[in-house]
Amino acid sequence: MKKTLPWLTGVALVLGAGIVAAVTPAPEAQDGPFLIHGAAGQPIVARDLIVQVGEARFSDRITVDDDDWRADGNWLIVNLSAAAPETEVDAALRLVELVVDGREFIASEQPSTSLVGTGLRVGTDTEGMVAFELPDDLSAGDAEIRLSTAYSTPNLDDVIVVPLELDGLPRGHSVEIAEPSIEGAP
Amino acid sequence: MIDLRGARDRVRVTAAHGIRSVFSRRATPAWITLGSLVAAAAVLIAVGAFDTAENEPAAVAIGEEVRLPTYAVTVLDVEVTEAVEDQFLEAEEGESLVLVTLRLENLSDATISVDGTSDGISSHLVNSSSPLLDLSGVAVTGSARYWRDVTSSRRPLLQPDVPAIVTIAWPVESADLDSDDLALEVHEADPQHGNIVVASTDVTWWQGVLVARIDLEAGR
Amino acid sequence: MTWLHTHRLSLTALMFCVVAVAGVHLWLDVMPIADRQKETITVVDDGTAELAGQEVTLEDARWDEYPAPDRARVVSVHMRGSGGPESTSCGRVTLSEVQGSRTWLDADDVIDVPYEAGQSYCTEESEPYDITSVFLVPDDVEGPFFLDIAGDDHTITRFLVEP
Repeated sequence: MKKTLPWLTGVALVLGAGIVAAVTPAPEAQDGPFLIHGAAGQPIVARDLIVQVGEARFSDRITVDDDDWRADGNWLIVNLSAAAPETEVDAALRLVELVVDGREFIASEQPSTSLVGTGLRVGTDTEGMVAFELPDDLSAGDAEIRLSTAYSTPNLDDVIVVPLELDGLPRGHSVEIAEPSIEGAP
Repeated sequence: MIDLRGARDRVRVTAAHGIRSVFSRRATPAWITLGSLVAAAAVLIAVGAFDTAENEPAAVAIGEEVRLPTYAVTVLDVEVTEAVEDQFLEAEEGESLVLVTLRLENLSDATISVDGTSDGISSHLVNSSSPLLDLSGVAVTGSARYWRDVTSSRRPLLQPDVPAIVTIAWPVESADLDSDDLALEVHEADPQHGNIVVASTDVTWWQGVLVARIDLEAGR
Repeated sequence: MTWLHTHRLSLTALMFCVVAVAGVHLWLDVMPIADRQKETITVVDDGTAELAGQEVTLEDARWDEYPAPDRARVVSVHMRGSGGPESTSCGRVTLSEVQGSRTWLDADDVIDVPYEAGQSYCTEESEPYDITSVFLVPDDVEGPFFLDIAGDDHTITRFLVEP
């Protein structure tokens, strides 16, 4: 027993080190974002953002009629309704990302009426749309929409995450990206 | 009198003994080591490990695609002008604008922008001290402007695996345009994650090897 | 007691180290943050204040003077700016709840304010002029409010608004 004790201790320590190494979170966990998960169709509340993800559909073309602008491609259009919980100062959806198939797509900057960047209000929902330009071969899969008021994925701040299944979403020929509007405006 | 004869004899005996000891059984490990080192060196030399790295950028014409693991670029059109009104862009005195219209395809896994940072990823395609797309044959006098839609001031985003047609305008010395060697140098991108000072989730595309030189003279 | 007595030297040294570490942390990490967020708020008593190089007077605040969307109300704040040669435009104007923490910005992009009502915020004018700021608030909000106008150098001029 005396002879094997050092060996057993050694093996136990190596195993312990292995377990500790495996369990230690990645460096990103130290200052990564706080993910607030929610489902589509219900309001999700974060520190400086309240978002409800509405309908999503594919389209071969998007248009902004006021600008007489159109673009063809494999577009995914998502309706969103957003508001600020506390203050209107600096309140806007600035990062809207679609994560699918190991790739991250940021909402397209091309439509001038995209909800991205529009000022949000306290107590009143702003309804708008965002469009993602996807590669031609991507029209199915389990996706996730990430929304935040920061320009890039924040450290130690909230990011709203909503799952979205792309399979079975309707596809249209052309969708107009309507200007952001207040619910029930006169 | 020094006994040289004795010394000579002793050397001869030791030498004979020494030569025999080289081939003795105790020396076998030494021979094995030496043998394997020589064999390894021979293999490395044959494979080319000791050759000096050579890098000859491919000569590419307008309309031909340069495809790299991280992005692909095809020059579609070249134009030299003094102003782009829709972008409120005007060349200074003694300068001109070289407009290069290209099809850029982002082949990485996340959206990038042409310069600056997009969600933590700095692509350094242009406007960097070591850009991936570099105009050669002329002196560039300032930062390049670029657009997808000439009437819009919004910064174009390059989505993964979605090609986009972007125009980049470089301000250059007008005098340099007389020499007929205007070209676009295309470098490979070497994406590196940050560490220590920069967050590890931030990715920077460092300038890699010069892969191709696209001759722009034909398009002017 | 004897343990403390035996280790009195190291314990004294440890105490000094703890004080030093706390002090350095306070000096380098805590105090700069505390200084950074100092905003001087000047509360206006008589409805008139000197800001943006002119005199701004709070005249009136009303509920629902202009039509609002469902489940929301409009607070319109009328002020008068004196204008003059030194007038400049003022900084950000916000309306916040006195009882509560919600803050609103001017909503003239959504609410139709007629041109005659005046400017949305104090500005460079040579003559006295009207200022009308409108805010879109949800209908569960009651007054009173603070109307804060930002000035130079982290100063805020605060008017009490009771529509």
